[in-house]
Amino acid sequence: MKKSSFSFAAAVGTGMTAKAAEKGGAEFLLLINAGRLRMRGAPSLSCYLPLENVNSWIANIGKTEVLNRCEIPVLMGCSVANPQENINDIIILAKASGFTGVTNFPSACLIDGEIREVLELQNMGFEKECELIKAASKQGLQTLAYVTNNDEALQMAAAGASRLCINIGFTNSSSVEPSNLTVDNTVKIIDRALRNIPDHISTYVEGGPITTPESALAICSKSRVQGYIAGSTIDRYPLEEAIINIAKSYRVISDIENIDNTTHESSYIFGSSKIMLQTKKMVEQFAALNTAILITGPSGSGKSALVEEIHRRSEKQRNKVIHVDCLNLALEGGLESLFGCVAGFQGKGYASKTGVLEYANNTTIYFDEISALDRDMQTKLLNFFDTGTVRRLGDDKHHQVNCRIISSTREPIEQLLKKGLLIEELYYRLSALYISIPALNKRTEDIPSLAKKFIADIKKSHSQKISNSGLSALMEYDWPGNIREFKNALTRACLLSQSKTLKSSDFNFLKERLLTDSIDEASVVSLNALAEESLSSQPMTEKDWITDTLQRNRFKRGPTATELGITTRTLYSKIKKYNIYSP
Amino acid sequence: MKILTMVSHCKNNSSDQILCPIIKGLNSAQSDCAIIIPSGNANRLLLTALATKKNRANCQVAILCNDPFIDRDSFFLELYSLGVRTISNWPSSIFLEQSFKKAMSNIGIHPDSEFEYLAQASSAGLRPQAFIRSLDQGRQAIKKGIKDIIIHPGLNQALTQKAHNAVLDSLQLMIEAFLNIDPTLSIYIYQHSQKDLNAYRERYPEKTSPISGYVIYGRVE
Repeated sequence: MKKSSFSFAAAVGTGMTAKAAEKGGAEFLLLINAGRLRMRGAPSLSCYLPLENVNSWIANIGKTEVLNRCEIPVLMGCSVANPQENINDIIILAKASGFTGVTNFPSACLIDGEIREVLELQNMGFEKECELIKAASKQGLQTLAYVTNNDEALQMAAAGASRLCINIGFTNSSSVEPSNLTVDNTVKIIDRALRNIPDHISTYVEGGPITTPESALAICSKSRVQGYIAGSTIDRYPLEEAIINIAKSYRVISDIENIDNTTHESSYIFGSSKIMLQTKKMVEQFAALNTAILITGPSGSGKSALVEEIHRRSEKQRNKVIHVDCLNLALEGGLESLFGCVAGFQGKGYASKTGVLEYANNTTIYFDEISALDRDMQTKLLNFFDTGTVRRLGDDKHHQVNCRIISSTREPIEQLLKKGLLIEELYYRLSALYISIPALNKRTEDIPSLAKKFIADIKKSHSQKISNSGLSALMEYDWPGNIREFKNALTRACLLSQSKTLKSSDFNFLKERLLTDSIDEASVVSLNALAEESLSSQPMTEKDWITDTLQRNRFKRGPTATELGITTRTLYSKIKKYNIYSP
Repeated sequence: MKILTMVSHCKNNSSDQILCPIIKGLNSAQSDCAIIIPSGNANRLLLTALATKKNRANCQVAILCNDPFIDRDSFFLELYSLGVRTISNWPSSIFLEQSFKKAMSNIGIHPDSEFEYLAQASSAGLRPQAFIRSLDQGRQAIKKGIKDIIIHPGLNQALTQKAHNAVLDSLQLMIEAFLNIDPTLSIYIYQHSQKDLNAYRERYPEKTSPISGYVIYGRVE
């Protein structure tokens, strides 16, 4: 038999879900008590319990909520279990209510054991359901019969059912019981149940392991059934998920509102998390002093922005912030750049040169990654910090420099001291005041306010806004590159999105990044024994991060630097510093 | 020896009746299946029936313990205020078997949850009586602190005399086992009809029986 295209129907219990299923393309509807009970928060299986008179209840829901709103056929879920209700009365009720047809729901076919035998003996079971289908069919009503095996399918076919639905057990989650059924097993059960069933009878499947359109399609394409009837998979599960997500979004929104009302004066680097509020307090206190400050925080966490903020809040009028990139100073000529030199120093033919420190008078001087300086340079700086004077290389003359000194490192101080990368004497001078900035993933509650601020700051954002789903996407990402990566991601999304509101899909590149990372890891695992090291649970070091990004970008420094959010020059110095292999 | 009758309605209160309106129109065999007959709202029907009764002192009623929409505490309070003093679990899940039993169990519908529900009624001044149909179920009920046990002989199927006697003998074993656990228990034997009750009495004369009484199915008072 040539199969028609995939057919789909929905078993629902309210006007809202019925209308939505119709809009979504359901070809017909079954109005059943399980659908109603699900929407009230009970499991589908409670449809068997004496909670309502099924037939009068469903007839009433049909009349008041469904039949006057839906144009597709609606079949009434009828129970024959009550011995006081006869078949003809049920059919009259269905017809009078305006239903197109009937279905045997809840059905005895899912009940087993001795109690099923009693149901049949007392004419309250499946045989009576066959009578219902037969009588309805004779009266020109559409019919759909729930069955579980070939005997039942043949009985219902003989009764004149125009549609059969193989129920392969309660949908996994409705009975909170993971199904052992695979697609192939399910296909076998279906085909066995439909053996010798005439082709003119449309066939459907419901329940068991089918929880997604993909699994329904897979089973329908492999078996004889033409379509799927969705129950809890079309109403309760998606609705629950949607409500949870939207509720979470409202929380996010309220967080933003709180921030707007309380922290509008603060800079974007702060956020409203407890730890950042403490940092803000420290900045306010420290800015008024002239004492050296040491800032630690992972790469991209906003150390430079914090320095700018301290400078801005400083009571003393200082001209500017001089940013000393210590990674670059570690390269050849760094000492001259920092201290300056007299003409002809060490016979190199230099002209007289003024060093950065000399320019620093009446400024805030910021030593970024101070531990990148070698021990010689760190020792020379000790004198500068102690005396506030600087002497050009090869010169006897001292220049007085009045400045605020701020330094930063990304590695924890203990490690730097232990490794000898920072000499202890210098550390004591640098760290009179100390601020530690946490990684962005340790303060995700700051993400909404940061996102709002950054988007507003992006000139090309054309007053774009961010949706709740967009914020959720940002909050779910791990941000290994911290604020820098966060800002780059928002810039990218603002530039590429055609919409005025950034949605979750505008940040899909973050998911791709995660996927790429995992694929890369997997390939590394399969290729070499370094896997164990790379898969260790230790946090990723900057060296690992740079190496990983270089590999991902096929060692092209431009794209690597862009992804890392640093300049190619800084990247070059880091490659050198960490002795990273780079062809 | 006390004889209680399970009834769907009664105009006047009688301390030897267990009121269970949802079984209206069902014979005793059908009544055993009431847990899977969605013919009405069992607990709402009960409250309505109680509200219309004239003399409500010391009522005994059967409730649907597995109603997902009833607030337990307020339901117990309402029952008490309507004169109810004893409650039992009917319609009951004690007869469910195989995969259907497993599926229902997974959503919290099983005898143990019924016993738990009944046991909690004690704190509202209601005396719980548990319908059970097996040794295991009886032990569960006793473990929950229930002192009144109604042993059900099983679904009402046509049995040979030999098989029927075997069923009756198994009830005796259960009675002994339960009284061994707690000699202070009140044990009742359920019977589908007067005929069945007579047969039981004939096999196990009341003079020597340690049970407290019988519960017999009866549609009307």
